[in-house]
Amino acid sequence: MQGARSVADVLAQQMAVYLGPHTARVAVKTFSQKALGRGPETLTVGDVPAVTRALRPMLRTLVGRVTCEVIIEQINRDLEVKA
Amino acid sequence: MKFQALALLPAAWVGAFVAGAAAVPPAIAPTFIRTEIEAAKVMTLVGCVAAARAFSPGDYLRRAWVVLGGCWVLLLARDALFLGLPRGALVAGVPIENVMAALATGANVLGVVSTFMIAKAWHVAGLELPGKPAQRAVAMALWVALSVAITGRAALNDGRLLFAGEVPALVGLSSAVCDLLSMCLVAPVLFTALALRGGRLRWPWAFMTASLLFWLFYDAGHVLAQALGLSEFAERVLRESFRGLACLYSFSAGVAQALALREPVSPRPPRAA
Repeated sequence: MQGARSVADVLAQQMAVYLGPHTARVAVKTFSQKALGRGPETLTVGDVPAVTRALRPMLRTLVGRVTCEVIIEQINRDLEVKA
Repeated sequence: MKFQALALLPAAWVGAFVAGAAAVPPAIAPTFIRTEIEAAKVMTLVGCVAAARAFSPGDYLRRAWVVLGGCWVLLLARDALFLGLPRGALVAGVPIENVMAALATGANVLGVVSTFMIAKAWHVAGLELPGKPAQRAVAMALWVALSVAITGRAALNDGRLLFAGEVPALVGLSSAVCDLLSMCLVAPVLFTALALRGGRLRWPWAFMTASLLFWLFYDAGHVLAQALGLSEFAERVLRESFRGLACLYSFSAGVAQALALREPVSPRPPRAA
């Protein structure tokens, strides 16, 4: 589990490698709103499966299916989420 | 480092081309230039293949790169006919000029479709481009006006010739119209590159933007050469330099796309809170 980092930070950090920090933060905000109707600051580990599900089409478009799954796997590992 | 090398490669290529064009005897210059043109087109196709292979079947951007690769396959096929067969020859009973015109038109259409797909990726991903909608609209309008100013005149001229019954002008018209449409798509590709700053994907998008910009310079080459008072040969070298830059930045974009996705990268450790 991450110490000082929030769930939104972990999500954004994994995507920032490819998308850059600005777009990664925008993506977390956009898709947490779409999936849960809440802002990124409210995300908990329990919300991660729903948010990553919402992020998948965006990631698949920009980085392809394989890299998308690598990113999501890394997010799940970082946050100790069972896929 | 690999990405920086890809950024410099097109300039090195064109530097070598200009030096070579200045050094070779005049009798050999046309062959030298033609060799450079075909080599640059092959490089572009190699870039498209590299990028397409980096994605999985069904991925949106794989389709875009495959379509762009198809554009270059058709252009190389046209050039092979142009270089390999005499004027007036028949290909499967059809005059070679008509076959070449069909290949060039098909290539132009595929070029526009692929550029449209690349420009639309951001929208397909469900994201918003950076900047306020009004700022984006103003930037887009300015860019379209510039594109029309540069490529519009050629389209009008070819349109007039076509209406006067000159069928070969169809190639020029389709090329000019497709150039115009592609140029109008530079703005969203540039916005995407800007939005991806700090990420690995900024490289392919930045190189694609550079490629599209140099196609605009290629189209403006004649006007530029006239303004600079260049000789016919110098104008040819100038325009082919722009074409070389456009092609090689497409190559760089394709290879950068492949490199960006090839190895999973761990994010940087977080800063201390």
